Amino acid sequence: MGKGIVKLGEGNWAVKDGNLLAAKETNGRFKNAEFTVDRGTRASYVGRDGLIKESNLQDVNLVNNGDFSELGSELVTNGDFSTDSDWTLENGAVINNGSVNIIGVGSRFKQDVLTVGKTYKLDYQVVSTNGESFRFQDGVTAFADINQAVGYHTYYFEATGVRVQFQALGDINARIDNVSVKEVDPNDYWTLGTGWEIIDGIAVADGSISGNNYLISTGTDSVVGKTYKVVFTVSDYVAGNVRVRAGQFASDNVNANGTYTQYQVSSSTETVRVQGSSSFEGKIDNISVQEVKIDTPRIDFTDNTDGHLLLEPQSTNLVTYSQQFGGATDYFNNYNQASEVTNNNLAPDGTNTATQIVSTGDGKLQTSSYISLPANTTYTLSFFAKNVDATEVKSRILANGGSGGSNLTSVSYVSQINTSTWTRITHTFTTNSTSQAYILYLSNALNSGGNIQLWGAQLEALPYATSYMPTNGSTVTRDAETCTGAGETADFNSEEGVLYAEIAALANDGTTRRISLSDGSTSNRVSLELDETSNIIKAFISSGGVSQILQYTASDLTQYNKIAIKYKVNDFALWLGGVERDTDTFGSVPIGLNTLEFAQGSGSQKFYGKCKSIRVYKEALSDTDLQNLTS
Amino acid sequence: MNKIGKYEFDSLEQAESKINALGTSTDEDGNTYPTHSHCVVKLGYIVLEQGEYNEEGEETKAPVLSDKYHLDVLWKGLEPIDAEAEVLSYIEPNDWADNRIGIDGNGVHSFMGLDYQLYKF
Repeated sequence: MGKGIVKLGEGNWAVKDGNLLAAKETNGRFKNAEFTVDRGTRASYVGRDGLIKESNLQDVNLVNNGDFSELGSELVTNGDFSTDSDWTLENGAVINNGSVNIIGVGSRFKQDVLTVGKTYKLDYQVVSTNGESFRFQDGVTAFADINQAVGYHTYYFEATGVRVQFQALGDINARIDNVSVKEVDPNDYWTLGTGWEIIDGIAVADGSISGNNYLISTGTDSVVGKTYKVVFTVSDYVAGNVRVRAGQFASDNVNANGTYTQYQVSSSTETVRVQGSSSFEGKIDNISVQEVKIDTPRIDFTDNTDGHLLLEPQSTNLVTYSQQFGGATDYFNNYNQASEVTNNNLAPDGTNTATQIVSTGDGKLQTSSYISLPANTTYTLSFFAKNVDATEVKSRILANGGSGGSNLTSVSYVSQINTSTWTRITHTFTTNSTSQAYILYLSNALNSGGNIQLWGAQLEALPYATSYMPTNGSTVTRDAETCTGAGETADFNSEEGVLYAEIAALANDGTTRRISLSDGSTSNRVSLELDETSNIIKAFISSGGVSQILQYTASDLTQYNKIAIKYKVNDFALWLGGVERDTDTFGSVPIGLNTLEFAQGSGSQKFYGKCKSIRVYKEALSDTDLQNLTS
Repeated sequence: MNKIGKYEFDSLEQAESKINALGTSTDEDGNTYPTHSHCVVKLGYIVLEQGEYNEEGEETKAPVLSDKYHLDVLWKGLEPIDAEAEVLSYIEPNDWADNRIGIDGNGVHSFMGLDYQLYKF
């Protein structure tokens, strides 16, 4: 059915570099078309596993070998001296009995395997010794400070020559075994300025750093404007300051042992670098720098297993502490005829942060002070609840009306909750006609002795609840989303076609929400609109600024509906639920269709809602096809 | 580059005038909508000291409100003042900087997942 389809969703979701991919069929082959998703803040969604998650880190780490533990392959041959081979033996050194024996002054064994300027890790075993001295040398420099006692030892050095050589100094009789030499940071992921070394899997500054002698990662550049999560560990701290810079010149210095997590916004394009003050003496390890990709598209699995694209408007959670209750400064801070049983129960986000309360009378968890709310404004209070053994519990809004106040609304939700899963309770109310103060209750009339669990309170000035916004001491705003710009001229046919969507509105909230195929303007477009009037759906087909408008009143646009707009010269139709709902037999077709977006064509009148599927066909489908498509 | 600014105005009207100057348009149904993409949050006359109420819910001490009208704005896609500078810097359009204030921490409001101290001008 149809050819040259561009389609999105239908259970097949893909995200690349934070953008949403639609699949487009060109010449019978599928390739990807990217929607650009833009949202200035983080946002939450329900993942495929049913847990609440936040748009979050991009997996890519700008730093390679951040734990400094990467070693090259073994450079020494026959390091266990299992055969009498590969080593050059001089002045009495012999290989026998599975080790090498150096006997007498100048006795030595060697292999030439090093590269000048590289740093190496040397491992060796002193099997036995008569106590006389020996040394290790690379052919140029002698490293006399190596451990000469019986046992296994490790030594790091920067090669000035190419040789691995052990040589007796005194009248020695010693046996050496298990010699191993591996290059440190073999892929050169770090450039070491003066004063820096990589020793034993840690970067070490010896206090001799001067000027811009950074420890520089050779990994990926930071990008101006992007936010990065920077994590690193400082140990064996002695003196000075050190910081890890991800393109932010003024990142915070630290001057004590510990593991640090910082968020930095890059203001310069550069690779990650560790910057110590001239006196810094200490060690740094486990450096991780990951982009915080906040505007990733949200595929939400709240009410289906195939997932839907969730696009929401700007909203603010007015509850200042959404996950902790009962403390003096908490938003819901008053247990009235109730008490907290535990506050570490498994929550909808997988953390142990849910609170269980028990009723000792009316079982109230409420704001202790009255909250001033403007008049004639619709709010939605939402929270997650789980039953333990309660037989009754209500959510309540109490207006300040003198003695005891008067109920604005009170809603029993015990029938909505169960003991095995979390349920999001939503309580929408409109304030009185005069400015007034209110007490909000997450729990009221909880039967005495009854237990419930609560988590994630949210109060928004909207007639519906949007995705959860956690708070911890302030109100929090989630930015509005846009999803724009998929496709190009070759993907669409301006002369005829079909725009199809399976979508649900977030609410009948008096706003205009559109999905459009257009030339980037409203002059030439095929636009699907959820109207500001409840349950009205409109189709706009505009050509050179002249529009044909089709319209239908659906039963409920907050439920998923399959909707299609067919366009062809003098042949326009609006289909919904397998039925042709409106037609127009006069009009021209748009010119230059080249983009598909969740907006009206010019980027405004954004679509906020849930989308399971989008399809754009390059031909006007038959009535039978449209009936099947929208049924 | 995205930046966060905190602002105070003498009145709601002054704040709304400033917001509208960022750009609005009207669709064919007569609905007005912003043509900019910045995230503007009206905090209003914020509470400086909470009010007090007795057990009957009667106000015993009125809350103390700021005499300034407050906005938080997440500015999106700002261009640097000098793109060639080693350290790039930014400024809001339309003289919004005249009403900008600075605070410690995040204050009474924050944008989800964004630290004001990291994103401030």
